Amino acid sequence: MTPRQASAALLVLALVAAVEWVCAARAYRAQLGPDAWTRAAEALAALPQTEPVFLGTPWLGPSARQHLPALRPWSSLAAPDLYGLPRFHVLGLASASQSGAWSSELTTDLGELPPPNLLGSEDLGSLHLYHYEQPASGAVLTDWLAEPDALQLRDDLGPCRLSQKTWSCKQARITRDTLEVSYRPRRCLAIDLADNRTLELSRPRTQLGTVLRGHLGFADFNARLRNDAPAQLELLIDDITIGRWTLSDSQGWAAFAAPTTPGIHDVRLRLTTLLGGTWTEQGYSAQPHRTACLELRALSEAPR
Amino acid sequence: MTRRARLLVATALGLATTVLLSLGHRQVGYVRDEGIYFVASRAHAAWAARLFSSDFTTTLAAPARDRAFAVNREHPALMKIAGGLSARLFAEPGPEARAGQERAEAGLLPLMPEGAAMRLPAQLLAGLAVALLFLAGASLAAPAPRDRKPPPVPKDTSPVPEPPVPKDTSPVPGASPLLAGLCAASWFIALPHVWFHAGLHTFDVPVAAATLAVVLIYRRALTDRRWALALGPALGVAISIKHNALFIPVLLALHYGLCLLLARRRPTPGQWLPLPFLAMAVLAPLTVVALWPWLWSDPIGRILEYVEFHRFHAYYNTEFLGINYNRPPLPISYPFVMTWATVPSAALLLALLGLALGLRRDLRPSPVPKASHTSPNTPTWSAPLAGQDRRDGLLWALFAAFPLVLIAIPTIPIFGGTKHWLTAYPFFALAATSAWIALARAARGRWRRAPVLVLAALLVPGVWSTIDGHPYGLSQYAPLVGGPRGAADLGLMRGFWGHAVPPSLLAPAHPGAAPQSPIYLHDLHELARLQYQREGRWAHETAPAPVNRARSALFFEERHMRTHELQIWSAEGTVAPTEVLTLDDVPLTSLYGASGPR
Repeated sequence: MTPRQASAALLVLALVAAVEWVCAARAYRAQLGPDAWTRAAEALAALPQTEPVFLGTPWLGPSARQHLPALRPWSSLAAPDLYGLPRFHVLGLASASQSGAWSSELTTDLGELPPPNLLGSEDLGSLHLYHYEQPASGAVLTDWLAEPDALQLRDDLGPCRLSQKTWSCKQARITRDTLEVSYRPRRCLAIDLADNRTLELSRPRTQLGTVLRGHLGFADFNARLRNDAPAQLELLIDDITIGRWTLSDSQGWAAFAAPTTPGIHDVRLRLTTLLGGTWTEQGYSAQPHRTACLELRALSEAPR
Repeated sequence: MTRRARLLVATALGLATTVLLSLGHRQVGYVRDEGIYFVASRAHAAWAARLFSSDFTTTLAAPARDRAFAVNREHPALMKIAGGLSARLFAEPGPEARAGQERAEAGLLPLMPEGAAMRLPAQLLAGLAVALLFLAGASLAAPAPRDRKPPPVPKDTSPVPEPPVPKDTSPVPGASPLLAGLCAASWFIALPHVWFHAGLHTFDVPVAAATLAVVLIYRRALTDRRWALALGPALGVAISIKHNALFIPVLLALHYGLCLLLARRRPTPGQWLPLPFLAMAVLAPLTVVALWPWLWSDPIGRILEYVEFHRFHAYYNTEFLGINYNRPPLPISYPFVMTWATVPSAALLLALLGLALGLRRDLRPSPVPKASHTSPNTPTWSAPLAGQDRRDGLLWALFAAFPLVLIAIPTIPIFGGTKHWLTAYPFFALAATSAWIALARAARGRWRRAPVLVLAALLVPGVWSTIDGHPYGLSQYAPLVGGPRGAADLGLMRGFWGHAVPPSLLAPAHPGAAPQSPIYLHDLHELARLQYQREGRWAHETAPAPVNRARSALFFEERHMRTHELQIWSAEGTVAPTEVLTLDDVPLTSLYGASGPR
């Protein structure tokens, strides 16, 4: 090695080491003390309760839920997507990715919506609170999870009985629950359905807008590992099929949508989970069973 | 620096490392695997202790032997025997046990908790690795001939030409052996993941230390028959620590073959059947069998069973760049990205420079004048590379690259993250030291003092990272990644061993401060909890329970376990933890209580 080469190498090493010192000084210290959480809690308490708050730094979840009541409702924690939310807020760590203003999880939840408008942000020290507006979000007219009494469920062998927030049928069991789909919590109808059977979910005289939007996913991680069989969905309005989808767990929280004519209509959704069991080295077993996670909303959206 | 001074400094560094690990790792929770190793250690050591009783014959008989060594037979027994014996020597007694509970038994010289005592042998081996690296690094800084340009390649390999003697052999100003030794030792031990694993009663740093020892012995064995004989037992000990060592002779054979090939002269008859390899072939298996009594009853059958277990090892989960991997094909980039993400970049660059310089020098197909003049110049079967260059750069490169390349194969399970290739790091450290020495020797003029300053500057981030990460070093990441926060942004694994237990659980401020019982342990292994209980660190009244019956719950952050957190929310009726254990704001573990808000 020549002296010139050695000097160059030492210079490069010194520069990298200097950058590392700077990065280490930033990285190796906690930024969030009790004061930061108190400030954030005060700022969130001042927001309208109808406007949900999401995390722009998802990994802060446990700490944020510990300190901030505004991040505990299911509407913040397990929302299906960003449709129907004309205004919402995002809390994030200023030093984190995208300054905590947005996350890849929020991008997923955006679906086909355009990026929202950033109305402003509040500097809360280490945390920043961002306020968003989404003119194209539409308005939710009916949420199938919100009024369980309005739902009528039946399987191939007859109607299901609703008792203590659980529908029981011969071939299925359905509850409102929060399940893990694609490593995220989702509020949905948790459906345990026997193999190759069909569950029909009806909602007579439903106020519809311009579109029906829903999601289907499968919980949980271990069940998804052992079963990749798809499920079939069929959506009928006034006994006319307006959409059919075949969805598998590799699609994660799979979105489906169908345009609708505004007004009062009878809506039916038929779910057939082809196989819900488990493949093992010994072959197929119906138990333990994979749970489908389904949600559906009627929205009124302005044409884009 | 005299040989005696080097030995003194090496011993001091090794002891300091062991003492720091022994004291510091009392804050490190017991990892999942340690739970079963503790159980096995007690069984193995009880058997070993009975050998010194009047019951010698019965103890040595197959039934008693198999009973003692059947537990955790997927790993050799050596470290577990050592851990168990260490506990019998140094364990403090546990508190009075309640009915159905066990307490740690007092050792002969009770100095530390039972778990800490069982960790001690591994910590001693980490100290040994530091001492060996200091010695090896310092020896690399020995004054070198001024001109090492290779002689011209002879067209005809016979007769063998003597390497031309350089005109000026007066030594260049050498890099300080003290600093070179410190460079090697610090590069290795001052990495957060190395430090974390070095203090555990597991096998990853011990096998890294043993691999280093075997390679250094091999290096000497190439020119000295005494070391050649020691190589076999040394390899046997390494294999008796963990199966990674099974690859050592293959890599040594590759190195030796390349040395012969690149020497460009026909090997002597002795070189075809060298003593170091004979010693490994004969003495290593005998050592392995001798140190693992489980094999004694049915050596072939049980070795095959052991190999089968590791050949068909289950695929557990690991998170990498936001994706959970649990079956092949696994990403080829994994070990390389994770190495960059956990080793400070300047230190890594120095090591890569050292590997490049070493390979450039050692892959030249020509005989290179040997640095040492103490050995006879004729290769023999007992000193097969006497008079030839040992090609250290090539040796470091093989042992630095192989563990990463092996893990990069898409079907090799990667659940343990960086611990799977810790065996590479001592050789990165030696390569870094070689590079630093080369820089120190070449620096001139106003750059003359720069190597010392640069060395200090590039070792500090590792030390900083290690101190900041302790006792959760498994979740620590390098400065350029952004530390734990940057890694969380990137979706890199935070942990997999259920060891980051909130301190309030192990040392409640007062008896009533313990979480409500029963508690759901999640990824905290029941055997690890029992070890806490044996030592009086787990409240008697805090019993474990399944999630649906628990009144409090632990949740360790692992991507594929999100379902368990939702189960906890449902069972506890709250989504708000009562306590969150963090490393630089990044949640590692949440503790949920029954009385928290929904």
